[in-house]
Amino acid sequence: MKGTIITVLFFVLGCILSIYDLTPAVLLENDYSTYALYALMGLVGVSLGMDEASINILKKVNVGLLLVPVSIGLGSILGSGLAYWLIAEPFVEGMAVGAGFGYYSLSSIIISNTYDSILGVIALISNISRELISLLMAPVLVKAFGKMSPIASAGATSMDTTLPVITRFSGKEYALIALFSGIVLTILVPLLIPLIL
Amino acid sequence: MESILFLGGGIVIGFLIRFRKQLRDYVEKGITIMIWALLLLLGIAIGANEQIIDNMHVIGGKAVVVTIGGIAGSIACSYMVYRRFFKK
Repeated sequence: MKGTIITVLFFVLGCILSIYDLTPAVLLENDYSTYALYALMGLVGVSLGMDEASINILKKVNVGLLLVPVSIGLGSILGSGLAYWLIAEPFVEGMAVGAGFGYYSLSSIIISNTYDSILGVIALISNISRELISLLMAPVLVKAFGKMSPIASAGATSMDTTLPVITRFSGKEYALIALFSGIVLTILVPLLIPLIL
Repeated sequence: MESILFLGGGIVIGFLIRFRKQLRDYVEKGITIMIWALLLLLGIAIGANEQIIDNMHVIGGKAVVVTIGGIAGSIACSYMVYRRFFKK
């Protein structure tokens, strides 16, 4: 939660700098964001490649376990696309926002830098609210839709920020499933968004 | 699309240096700093666009619609997997 607030504060700080014309000239004259995005994607790749935990967890796969993140990812993307289409917006744009799976920082950055900054803001707000809703609604979801539903709702965040609530309300036996699903979906975010847009 | 090339290149480099564990903290710190920097830049770009600032409530509303669709879709899809493989 603390991490989320700090991250959002940087975005808000940027908005305030710009609204009050306080942006340093060097940032106005040059657009560093593309290079920064490439650097970020490279670093995300390095951290994935170095992470033995995610490689080891991938070795424990069976069909049922693998279908958890696959079905969550597919449902997120199609559900988001459909919802966005219902309010008369492009289906594909909704799909891209939904493919953030709650990983708001990376998804909003990729979308705003490679596609459109307004859709990037939508991705930021949408994926932050996904994390918040998942944290707050976990007990309600378990009662209504079963023990898998908080993992679905949490998306990529089920490996870290929402893992404690999932373990509490779905039970300890779902912790490993949540971890696995979150790791797979986290890896898919930087891959799927550029492919969708 | 280029971003995927950087991601793939990074994965290869990360895999090659995976035993140099002391580098891991630097990589994570680097990611956090780049995310902060890029969100600051996104904020600056958004703040300069009065159209976006004035319509923030509309943009927020659209975002919430997408969120609800995504959560509902993911729960519906994974429910089938839950029924088939996990529910006792």
